[in-house]
Amino acid sequence: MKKIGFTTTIPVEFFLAGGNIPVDLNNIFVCNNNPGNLIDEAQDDGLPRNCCSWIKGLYSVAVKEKAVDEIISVTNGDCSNTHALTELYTANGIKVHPFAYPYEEKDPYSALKQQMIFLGNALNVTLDMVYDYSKITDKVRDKLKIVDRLTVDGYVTGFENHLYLVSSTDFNSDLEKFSKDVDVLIEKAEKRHIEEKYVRIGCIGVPTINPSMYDFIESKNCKIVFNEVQRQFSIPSTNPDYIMRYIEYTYPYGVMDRIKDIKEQIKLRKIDGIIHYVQSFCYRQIQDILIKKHLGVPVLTIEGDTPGDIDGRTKIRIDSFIEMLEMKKKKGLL
Amino acid sequence: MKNIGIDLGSRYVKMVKADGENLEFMRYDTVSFYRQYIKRDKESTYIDVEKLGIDKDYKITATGYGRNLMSFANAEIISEIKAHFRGALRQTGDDSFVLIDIGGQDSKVILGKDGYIEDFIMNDKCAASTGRFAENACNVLGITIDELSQMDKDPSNLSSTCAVFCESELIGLMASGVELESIASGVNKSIAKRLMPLIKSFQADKIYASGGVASNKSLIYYISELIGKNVVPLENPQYNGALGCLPL
Repeated sequence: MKKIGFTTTIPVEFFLAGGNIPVDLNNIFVCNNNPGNLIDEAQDDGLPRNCCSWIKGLYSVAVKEKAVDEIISVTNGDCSNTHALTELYTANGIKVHPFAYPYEEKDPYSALKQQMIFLGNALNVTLDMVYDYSKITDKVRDKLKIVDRLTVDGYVTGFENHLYLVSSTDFNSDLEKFSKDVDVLIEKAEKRHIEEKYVRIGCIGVPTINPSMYDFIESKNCKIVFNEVQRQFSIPSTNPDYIMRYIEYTYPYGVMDRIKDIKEQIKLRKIDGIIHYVQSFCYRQIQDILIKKHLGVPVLTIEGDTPGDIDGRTKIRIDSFIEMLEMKKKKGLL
Repeated sequence: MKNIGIDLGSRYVKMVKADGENLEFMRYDTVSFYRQYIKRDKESTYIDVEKLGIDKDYKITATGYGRNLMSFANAEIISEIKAHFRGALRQTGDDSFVLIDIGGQDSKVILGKDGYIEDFIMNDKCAASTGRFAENACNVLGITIDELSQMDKDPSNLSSTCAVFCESELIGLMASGVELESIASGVNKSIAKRLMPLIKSFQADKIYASGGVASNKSLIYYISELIGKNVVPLENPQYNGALGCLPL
């Protein structure tokens, strides 16, 4: 049984079916007792200050903390910084297996299937073993859909939604315990009294490095009813074809696919405004242009760099944005 | 009605005292203001109106950089965006406009439409489009802010992406014999260029400027030139946020 890390969401059933322990390097970085220290360590080794903090955290958890035995590095479908990160892993003696989501392939399905076969070979599992295991994980994914519905209905907080959906990338390295934790959350949430909030907010973009933003946002007269990428990380597609689920998964593909998904959810969840979180020095900041152009609801873009509380300037922006939405909603302008 | 509007900026605290139609304007250095006029007891923080020489029957409304960091037991707090928007409504009498507010440490652009805030945008984590950059540049160049605001001839091209690194670029230009006026004009133009992505996000026929930096004539000239529209500084640009704290 090996602990195998990965740099962004990939089909987790490949690890579980082979009896290995999946470790989302992002999750263990941000949940570390001192994530800022991990960034400092990476910078001490020469990673540039103006490089995304996630990359630096991913470097340190593997190279410095030696948290995993091997790594699956997603070289297509995430950022190109991962290529350099992969080279650093290899240079530090860590065994790395690449995994590439299809990009502009004529036949993306076949390309993805081929990548899954490679992944299976690396982890010593067959696709059939993976398909079988997905029947077990599907039960947990069904529970996550309940968590998401309870978020829309106001019983689960934006932060809880973020935490549980984002943790489903590796099921916190313990599927059974994670499943029970989700049961506890659902049971607790269903008994809650709902506080009526006026404005309905959707959060989009990569998961924030500053999760305290959730409580700050919901301390205003608003409810977070959507976490775009976290929901995608939980693989919401129920397509009977396992490979198709990862074709319908939007995160590793073009922004227009993401925009289509976000627009559908805006309608379904009756969202008044979107908060777009972007990570400093991330290429996805550029995609903000298209997101603002196409969503059709007010969008506030906020930027985070290092772990910790959100800064005063970001709080001012969020505050003013919610205030603006409240005013517009009262006047029937949304 | 007696009201006080206070804008707690990063550089100055601006205050407007309104007794009916009579307005009185006051300005304090921010650090001194916090030291002298903010008092604390075990539970709360207060603005020391007595020490400021203000009658207790004035209703205090405040805004500013620290809205979420500050909480005064004797003042209502409103957001900066709302305060600046209301200030522009009050000062212009218009209800549809773009307001460019250039403060000590942040810049923001607000789109007002039919008397409500349609949208707004603020600068990212960079001081190169703010008053602080202008102030630092003046220190390096050995000129006053007033002198800087007159300089709009043959602007040097400043290439640094960072307000701090730009200081060494200014020294480099001086060392290579470039005229002071050209360098200072370059400072103004570089602030204007930095503001463009914010300003160009919105369209309106009327474009106003507020904040202490809006008194910089050269900067307003360059902004107007770059967007191809006339930008009008408000009558009391630095007090716009404080005026917006007063009832309309």
